[in-house]
Amino acid sequence: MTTNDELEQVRERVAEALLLLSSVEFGDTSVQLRVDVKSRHPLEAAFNSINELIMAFAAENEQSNAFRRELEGHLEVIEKQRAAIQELSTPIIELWEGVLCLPVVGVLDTVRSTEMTGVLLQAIVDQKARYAIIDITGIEVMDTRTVDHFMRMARAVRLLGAECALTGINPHIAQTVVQMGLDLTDIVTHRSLRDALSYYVSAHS
Amino acid sequence: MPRFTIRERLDVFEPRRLIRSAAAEVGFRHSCCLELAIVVSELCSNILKYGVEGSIEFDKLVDRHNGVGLEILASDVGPPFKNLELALRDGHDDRGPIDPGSMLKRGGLGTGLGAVVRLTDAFAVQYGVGMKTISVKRYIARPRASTATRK
Repeated sequence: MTTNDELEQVRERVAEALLLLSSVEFGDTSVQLRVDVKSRHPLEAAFNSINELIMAFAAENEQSNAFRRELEGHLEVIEKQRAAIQELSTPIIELWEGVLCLPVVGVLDTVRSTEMTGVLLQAIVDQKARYAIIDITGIEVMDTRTVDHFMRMARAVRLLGAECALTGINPHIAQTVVQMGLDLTDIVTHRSLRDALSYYVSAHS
Repeated sequence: MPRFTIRERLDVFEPRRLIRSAAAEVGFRHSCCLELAIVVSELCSNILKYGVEGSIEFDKLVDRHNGVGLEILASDVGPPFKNLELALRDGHDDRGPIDPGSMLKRGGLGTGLGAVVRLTDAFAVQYGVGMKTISVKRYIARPRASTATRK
């Protein structure tokens, strides 16, 4: 009967091992199998290597978690940068009390010019600005429709009860404005951002 | 021919940057390179607004009649233009005039494709299975005068 008892014991131990492995499967890698079988028992070697495997798995798991945390960190940074880029593409600067400036640089397409309108008009309302200066020194080329849109933006600013000036218009954009026959009666322009600012500051000090 | 997948707004920067160097290499003047950057930008915006996702490609072009230039292909998986003529008209999309009050919300003036036409010399649309491709060509020596502002 000893062999039967032993067989029963082995069965129990194997069941125990399987149970433990299933808990490893669910993420608990801190467990270890008891190795208290007789020395040179066939289960001894098996259990030892299972324990080693669990430890190796725990180490790998820890490492992959670290990688994932790192990756999540990177994604967070990218998300922040994306928001920053979005914001930087339409920066509104308060140059002086009540004087807002929208410097425009880079490639100006229709989507961006629409966004600028929204951001500028909202900023004028939120910050109770009296003056808005749109500086397009950094723009060399514009589609004719975008030029037209800028003129409209300046008028929309006036509707909000603020004054709007366009500064830094280059000769070729100026030529287009005239050639298009755009209405310039209520558009205030200054040669440079500096001129516009000193005008507003001296007029209201 | 470099090919750029356009899925979100950040994807626009790379082709827009590279078209400038590609155009300069082909021999375009600085201001024309900037105009081509606007073209790529508008085509990308259109892909994102109407075409769900797509791609931008561009390559040097040598034409017997018009000389050297650049061809830009913008493909997307969006629906075909309902009415191309309307879509190209300023302040319109392919269904008709855009309500000026909705421009801020939809993020555009409806003049993007109009700008593309103004800044290029040839405009064509090809339809494939479940996709469309806009092809535009711009030559160094423009066959007709540009209506865009130039330096």
